[in-house]
Amino acid sequence: MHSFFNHVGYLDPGTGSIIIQAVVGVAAGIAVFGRKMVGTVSHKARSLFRKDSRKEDIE
Amino acid sequence: MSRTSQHPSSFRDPAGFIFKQGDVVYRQINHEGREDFDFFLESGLYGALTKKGLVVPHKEVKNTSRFDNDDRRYKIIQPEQIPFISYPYEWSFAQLKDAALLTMRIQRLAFKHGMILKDASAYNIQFIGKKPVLIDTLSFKKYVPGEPWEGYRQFCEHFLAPLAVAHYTSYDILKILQSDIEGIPLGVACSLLPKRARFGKGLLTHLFLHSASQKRYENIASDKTVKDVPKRKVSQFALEGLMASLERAVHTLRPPRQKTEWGNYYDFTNYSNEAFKKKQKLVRDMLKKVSPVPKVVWDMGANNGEFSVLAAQMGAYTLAFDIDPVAVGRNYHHRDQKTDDLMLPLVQDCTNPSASVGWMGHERDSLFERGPADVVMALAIIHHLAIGRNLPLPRVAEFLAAVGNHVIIEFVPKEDSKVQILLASRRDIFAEYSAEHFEAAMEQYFKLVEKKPIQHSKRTLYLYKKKRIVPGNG
Repeated sequence: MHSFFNHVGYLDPGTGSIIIQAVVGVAAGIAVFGRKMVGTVSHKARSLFRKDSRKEDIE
Repeated sequence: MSRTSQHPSSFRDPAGFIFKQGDVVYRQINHEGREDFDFFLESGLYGALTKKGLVVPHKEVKNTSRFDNDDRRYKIIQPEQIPFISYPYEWSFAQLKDAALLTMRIQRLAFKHGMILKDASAYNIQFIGKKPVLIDTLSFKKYVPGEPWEGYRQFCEHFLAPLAVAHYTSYDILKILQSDIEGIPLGVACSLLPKRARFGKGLLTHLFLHSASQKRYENIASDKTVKDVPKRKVSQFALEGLMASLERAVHTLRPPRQKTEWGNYYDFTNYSNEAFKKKQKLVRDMLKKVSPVPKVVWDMGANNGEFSVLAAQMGAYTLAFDIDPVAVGRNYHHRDQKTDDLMLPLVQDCTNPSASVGWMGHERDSLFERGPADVVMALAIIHHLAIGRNLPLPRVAEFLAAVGNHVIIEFVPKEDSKVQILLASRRDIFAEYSAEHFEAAMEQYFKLVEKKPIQHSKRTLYLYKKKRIVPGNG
C-alpha cells in the first residue's frame, strides 16, 4: 500500500484498516456533520424564539 | 564526554530516537525526520500544543559536541524530564481513557495545522502527576490529502479495544496489556466482547468491521499481486468523521460495574478517627525525619492515596501504587490542585511487580529498574503479604530493600482484628509472624531510625534506613 503515497510513516497501517477508513469515514463524517447541522439549526431556532418572546414582552 | 545510549524502546521510527546521557533524556531528530519536525514547529502546532500543556515542551541543544558523533543527526532536543515513566498496563481505566482522549484531541489540533499523528501508541502518553501529556514530538507528519491515518489500527488496539473489553467484562482484562504490549489485537477483542457490544457507540465499526476487514485482506499478499491490492484514498472529510466517531466511542465507555476487594477500603477500616489522625501525624513526622529530603516516595498499597498525599504535600513526587484498579481510579479522580502534579496513582501488585518486557526483554522497564525510591511507605500491608500471600518476613524485607532507601512501615500484630479476619478461614501456620521476627528481618537490610506505637490501635510504625546496597540494585 505504501507505494501510492508520497509521505509515509513507519507503521504498517494495514490494508484492512485503510479500507475501513475509506468506507466508514464518509458515513461517520456525514453523521457527525449532520449532528452539527441539527445542533446549529436547533440552536438558531431557539435563539430566534427567545428574541421573539422578548419582543412580545416589549410590545 | 560521557557515553550516550539509545533507549532500548526507541528504535522503530527512523525520524529519530531518545537517548540518555547521565540521568538526562534527550531526543535526536534524524535528517529523515527533519521536514516534518521543522513543519511541526513552523506550523504553530508545537506552540499550540505546549500552550495547552498537551505535549511535553523541549529546548534545542545548540552545542552537541558532548554527544557521540552520528551522521543521521539533524538536531538534538532536550524535552522536559518525566519524573516517572509508567505504562498502560499500570494505568486505571480512567487513565487509559484520558490518554486516548488526549491523543484524539491532539489529532484534531494537528489537523487544523495541516499535520496528522503518524502513530497512536499508548506508550507515547505519559502522566506527570495526574496530567497526561504526549511525549513523542516526532509523532507528527504533514497531512497529505487523500492519505489514510496510519495510526488508526494502533489507536484501536492500544486504546479502544482494551477500554471496550474492560467496559463489558472486567478491569482484569487490562492486565493483558503487559503481555501484549502492542495492545489487544482486534480479533481477540471481538472474541472477548459480548454480542451486545456491537450496539455500543462506534464499536461495530471500529472493532468488529475493522477486524473483519483486516481478516479479509490479511492474506492478500499471498493470494494476489501488489497491483491487486485495493488502493483507496481517504478524504479529509472522511478522516475527520472517523476521528470524531472514534472520540465519541471512547468518550461513552465507562469503567466496568465491578466491586473489588479494596475499592471501599477506607469505609471498613478498624481505625478510630483519632487513631487515623495519629497515624497521619506519625507518617508526616517520619517523612520529615528522612534526610536528605525525599524527592521520590513510593506508597505501596496506597489505596485511594490518603497517606500518599502527605508525601506529595511535602513536595516529593509520589507514586501511589495499589493492586486495586478501583482504588487507583478513585485516587486519580480525586483532584487537589496542590498535589495533582506530584502524585501519580498506578496499579501495581507488589507480589508480582511489573516486569521488564518487549524486545530483548528491555523495551519497557521493570518496576525495580525505575527505582529505588528515596522512601517507600508500606502502611497496613505487611499482614496481607505475610499472611494473605504466605510471604516470609525476610522476603518482604528483601523486597523493601530493593525498592527503597528508607522505609516507613506499619506492623499489624496478630491481635489486630484485620489479621484475625485473614486467619479466620485458615490454619495459623504463621508462628513467626510477630513484631520480634519482623524487626529481626528488617534489621538484615535496614537500620532502625524510629519506632512509634500508633495510639488508640495495636499497631506500630517504624522508620528504617537502608544499611547497604542490595546487589543488582545500583
